[in-house]
Amino acid sequence: MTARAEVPAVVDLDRVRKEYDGGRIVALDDVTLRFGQGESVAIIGRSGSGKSSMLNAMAGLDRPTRGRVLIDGREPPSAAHWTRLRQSSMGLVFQSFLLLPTLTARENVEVAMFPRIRSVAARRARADELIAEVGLTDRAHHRPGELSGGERQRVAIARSLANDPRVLLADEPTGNLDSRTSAHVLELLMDLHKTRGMALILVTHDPAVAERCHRQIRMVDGRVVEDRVHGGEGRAA
Amino acid sequence: MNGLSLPWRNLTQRPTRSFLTLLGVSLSVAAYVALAGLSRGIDNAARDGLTENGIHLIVTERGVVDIFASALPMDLESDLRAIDGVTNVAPDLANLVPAEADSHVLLNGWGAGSFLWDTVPLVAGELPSQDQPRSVVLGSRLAESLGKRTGDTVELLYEPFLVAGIAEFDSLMNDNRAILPLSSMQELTFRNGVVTVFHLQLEDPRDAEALAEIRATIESTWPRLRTASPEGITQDNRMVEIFQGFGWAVSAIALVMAVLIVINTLVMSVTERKQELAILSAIGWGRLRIIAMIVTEGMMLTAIGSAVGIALGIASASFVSAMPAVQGLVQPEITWWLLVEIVVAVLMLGAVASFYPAWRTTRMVPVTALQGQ
Ligand SMILES: Nc1ncnc2c1ncn2[C@@H]1O[C@H](COP(=O)(O)OP(=O)(O)OP(=O)(O)O)[C@@H](O)[C@H]1O
Ligand SMILES: [Mg+2]
Repeated sequence: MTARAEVPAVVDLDRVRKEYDGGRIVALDDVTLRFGQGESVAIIGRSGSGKSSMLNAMAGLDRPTRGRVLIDGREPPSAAHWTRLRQSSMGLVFQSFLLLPTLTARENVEVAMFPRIRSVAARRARADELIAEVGLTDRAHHRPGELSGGERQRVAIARSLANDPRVLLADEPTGNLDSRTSAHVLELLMDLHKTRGMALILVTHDPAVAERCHRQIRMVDGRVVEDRVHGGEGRAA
Repeated sequence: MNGLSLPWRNLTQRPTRSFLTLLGVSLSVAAYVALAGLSRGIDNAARDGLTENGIHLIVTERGVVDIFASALPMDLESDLRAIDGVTNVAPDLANLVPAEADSHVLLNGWGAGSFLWDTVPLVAGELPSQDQPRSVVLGSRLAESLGKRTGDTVELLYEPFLVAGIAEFDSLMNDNRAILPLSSMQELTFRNGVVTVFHLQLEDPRDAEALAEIRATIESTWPRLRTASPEGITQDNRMVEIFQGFGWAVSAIALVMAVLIVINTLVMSVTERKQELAILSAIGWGRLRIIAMIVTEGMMLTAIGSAVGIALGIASASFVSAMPAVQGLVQPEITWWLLVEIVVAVLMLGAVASFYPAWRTTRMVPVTALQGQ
């Protein structure tokens, strides 16, 4: 715990509550958490325990019923602010990849740069770099339908890096992949986390994945029941 | 990939739907172009025809539904001639009459010595003489479409006529008509002593004040008469008004249809693509950017649709004006201005039409659509 207090926070959850169906379902039950710069955090817990709800709230994709989400110590006041944060400081990776089916791998990466980079050539060059970084140069011109699950997830990861985020939020990034492919994707995420020094917050069911992270948070019924720093690998310098 | 690639990709991704939408937009625009072009063409055809004959002012019966129904007593001629500033008066008995091969032609009966005869640009033969009552001069285009030369016989009003001469008028309307002596026109159409219109030449047609005074004099002396300048000939003409009103109504409906088609297509398409739009939002696309993309799609549809529609519209207007029933009377008047007007109107409508579905779908919280898979 002491280790965390030293690093400046990137994301703060302050008594965040998320209810569905007018309060009949409580997905997040007054969660207070702080995520520091460069941390690697695994969020684990049973299905329905509120992991995705928490990640969505942290990305501004959903609004908490109560409580505050702070980014760099400030609460984004509007949807437009959240959009700008996702443009500049957050990358998102999802279990089901969520690529645009009509675009090639490289174009999927380029699309994320539209709001920030004007020049077509600059976008293309940057997308090529990222595609190379995830090892997909030879698949750059294929559409998602022509790629394997692992390749699709690597495209999604390249896309999430498009704007050099300081936080990568990944919701079960290996959940749709077999164990070998999972290992590859996980390796890639850990590498990026280390080389770029960005915080990695990932939701997972897989204890092996969780072990690789520096900190583990366990959720049960919308509450944080365990928040453990085990000082393992994955802590950015 | 540039800002237009994505909307373009979205359209080409659903080729059947995009094609059908384009077809709908093009047909609407085509209907608009054709009708607007034809109804403007009526004005111009009449004006050009009159101007070519050196006519400054025309006098008809007030309030007739159809200009050919105007019936004025011939002896008005001398009274009109007596008005200050009027130099010439030419009676004209005009009608659309049955001709050979099931067609109808515009037939004008002109009085002996009328100034109108001096404006006939003969290219063959001679003018019909008053002692040859069954002789006509044909406009060159009419002569050509009937396959007539001077000396031939042409059937008008179920009677044989000698083609005395052929004239090449500039105005399409004039070049598609036949002219004969007034007396035989009156006899053949049972309108003895009656004319349709008096054509007036004025001392100084550019003197607006004098013109207004002459018109006021005529209309106050004979309340049943109406005067019109060549430009204003189609105003206050019930037939033309009905046609134009009808044309405008149909073209307005056509444009509304185009808008509805675009709205419908985009509502369907964005509903299907909710998740894609949510993905864009998740990777940092602002609401305005997403709306702009959808609006661009709508504008692409309407832009291509109006380009195709303009081509179709011009083609169908020419087709209509070439039909035997209207041949020579109306030439579509499709100016660059009309086209610019249509393109601008359609693009604006396209933008407005696509804004609604865009605004509606981007209102939701992104996560709802991300989950909805
Ligand atoms: N849009 C929604 N409407 C209603 N209830 C919802 C909605 N989204 C989530 N929930 C409910 O909220 C609770 C938490 O869901 P959440 O998706 O956060 O769980 P999770 O931990 O991510 O589960 P999983 O491991 O299966 O992804 C669940 O009971 C779920 O049914
Ligand atoms: Mg989940």
